Amino acid sequence: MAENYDFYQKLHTDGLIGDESFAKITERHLHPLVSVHREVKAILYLGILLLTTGLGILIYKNIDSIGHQIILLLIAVISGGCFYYCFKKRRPFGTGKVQSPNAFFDYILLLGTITLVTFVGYIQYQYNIFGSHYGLATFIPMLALFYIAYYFDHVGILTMAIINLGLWMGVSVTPRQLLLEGTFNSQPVINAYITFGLLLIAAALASQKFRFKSHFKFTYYHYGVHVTFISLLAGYFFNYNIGGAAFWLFGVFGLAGIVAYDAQKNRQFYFVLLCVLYGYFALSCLIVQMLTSVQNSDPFGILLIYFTASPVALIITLIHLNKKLKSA
Amino acid sequence: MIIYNKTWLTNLSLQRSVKAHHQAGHITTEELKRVETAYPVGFYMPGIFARVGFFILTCICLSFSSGLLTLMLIDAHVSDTFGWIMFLGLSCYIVLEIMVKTKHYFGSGIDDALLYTAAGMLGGGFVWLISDSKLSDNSAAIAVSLFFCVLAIYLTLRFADMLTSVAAGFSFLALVFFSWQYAGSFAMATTPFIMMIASVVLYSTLTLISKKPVAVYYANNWLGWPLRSRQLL
Repeated sequence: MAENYDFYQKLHTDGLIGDESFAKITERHLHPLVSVHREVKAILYLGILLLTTGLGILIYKNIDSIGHQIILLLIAVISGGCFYYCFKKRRPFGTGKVQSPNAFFDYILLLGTITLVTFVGYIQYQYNIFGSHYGLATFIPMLALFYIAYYFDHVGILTMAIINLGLWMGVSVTPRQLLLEGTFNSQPVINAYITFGLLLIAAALASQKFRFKSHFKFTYYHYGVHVTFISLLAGYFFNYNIGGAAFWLFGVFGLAGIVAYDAQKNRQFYFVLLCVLYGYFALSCLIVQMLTSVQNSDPFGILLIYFTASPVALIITLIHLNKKLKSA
Repeated sequence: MIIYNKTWLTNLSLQRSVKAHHQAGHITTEELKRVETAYPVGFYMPGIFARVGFFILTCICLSFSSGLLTLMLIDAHVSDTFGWIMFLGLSCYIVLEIMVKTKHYFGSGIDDALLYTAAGMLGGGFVWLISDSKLSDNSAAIAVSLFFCVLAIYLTLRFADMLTSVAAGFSFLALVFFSWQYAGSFAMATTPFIMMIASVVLYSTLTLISKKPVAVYYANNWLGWPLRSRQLL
C-alpha cells in the first residue's frame, strides 16, 4: 500500500524512526516479499495427517488380502525410516530449548512417532503381545513418547506422552471396570486423575526450577491445572449426596490459590483466569448447595440475583488483575 | 456511523503495520515504542484468554439478569409476546452503546457478548413476530432475511464486527434466494445462476469498498491481528 509507505516517510521526517530502519523499509517497499511460511507448514502438517489417515483406511479396507505381517512390516519401515532420519539430522541434546535443524525435521519426527504408536497398538490388538496387561501395553509407548519428546525437544510429542500417561494411570487403576462398563465415574478413577494432575503440576514446577527443558513447563502446567480442577469438581459431584462433599470444593479453592500465586509471579494471565473461573464455578456450586439445602425456602430469586451480580464483580476484578499483571 | 474513535482506529492500523515491521526486524524496539506513544490507541483490548473469560462471564450475567427481569414481571404476562424479547434485546443494545462509549471497549469480550445477545434477541423476537402472523412461508422467509440483513449491516457499520458482517452476507444471499422464488417454476431453474450473480455483485462491491479510505476503520479485528506478515506495507 502506497499510503502506508507515505506514513513511514512521515515517521522518518518526524524523526521517529532512524535512517537505517527506514532504509530497510524502503528496500522492502521496493521489493515486496510474500511469505508462504505458514502455508508450507500447514501443508506439511496436513500431508502427514492425510497420509497416516489414508494409509489406515487403505489397510483397513484390504486387511484380508494384504496380511498382518506385511502391514506391520510396512508400518515398522516407515517408523524406522523416520527415526533413522531424525537421529542422523538431530542437534545435540541440551537442557534448554534446542532448535530443530530444518523445517521438515519436526514433521518427520511426528510421522515416525505416530507410526510407532500405531505399530504398538496394532501388534497388541492382533497378536495380544502384552496379553491382558493393559497397563504394560500403555506404559511402554508412554516411556517411548517421553523419551522422544525430551531427546528431540518436541512439544507436540510431549502432549501425546502426557495423554498416554493419563491413559496408563486410568487403565492401571481399574482396567476391568473401564473395559466392561466404559464408565469413568468411580472414586478410584477420580483419585487417579487427581494424582495425575498433581504429578503434571509437579513436573511443570520442577522443569522450571531445575531449568531442565523449562519451555515444557507451559504444556505440563496447562494439562495439569485443567485435569486437577476437573477431577476435583468430578469428585465433588460424585460425592454430592454424601456429607463432606464440600471438602472437594475447598480443594479447588486451595489449588486455585496456589496456581494463581505462581501465575502472578510469572505474569501469566491465562492461569490467573483459569483459577478465577474454576474458583467461581466451585463457589457457585457451594452457594447453590447451601441455599437448596435449607428447608422450606425458595432460593430461586436469590440465585438469580447472585448470578447477575457476581459476573459483574468478577469482570471488574479480572480487569483490575489484568492491568496489574501488565503494568507489573 | 462507526461508534469508535476514528483517530484511534487509524492509529491502531498504523501500529499494527509498525509492529509487523518490528517483528520482521526492520524497526528497533525503541522506535516501536516512540511510534506507539506518538500514535496512541486508547481502546480497552485485552488478550485472547481474557476476552474469552469476559465473554463467558458476560453471557452468564446477561442470561440471569434477563431471567430475573422476566421472573419479576411474569405475572403481568409480559413474556407471552415477542415484544418482551425485543425489549430485552434493545436494552442489551443500549447497555452496549453506553459501555463502548464510556469504557472504550474494543473486542474485549464484554462488548462481543452484548452485541451478539442484542442481535440474537432482536432477531429472535422478529422471528417470533413473523411466526405469529399469517404470512405465507415464502413471504415470512423474505421478511426475516430482510430484517436480519438490515440489522446485521447496521451492527457491522456501527461496531465493525466480523461475525455480524458474515451474517449480513448470508442474509443478503438468503434475501435474494427467497425473493427469486416468487417467479415460480422459472425461478427453480434459474436460482443457481441468480445466486452466482448475487455473489459476484456482493464480492465486487465489497472489494470496491475495501479500497476506500473508510475501510481502514473496518480492518479485520477477529482474534487480534493474525495476519501479521501480510500487513507489511
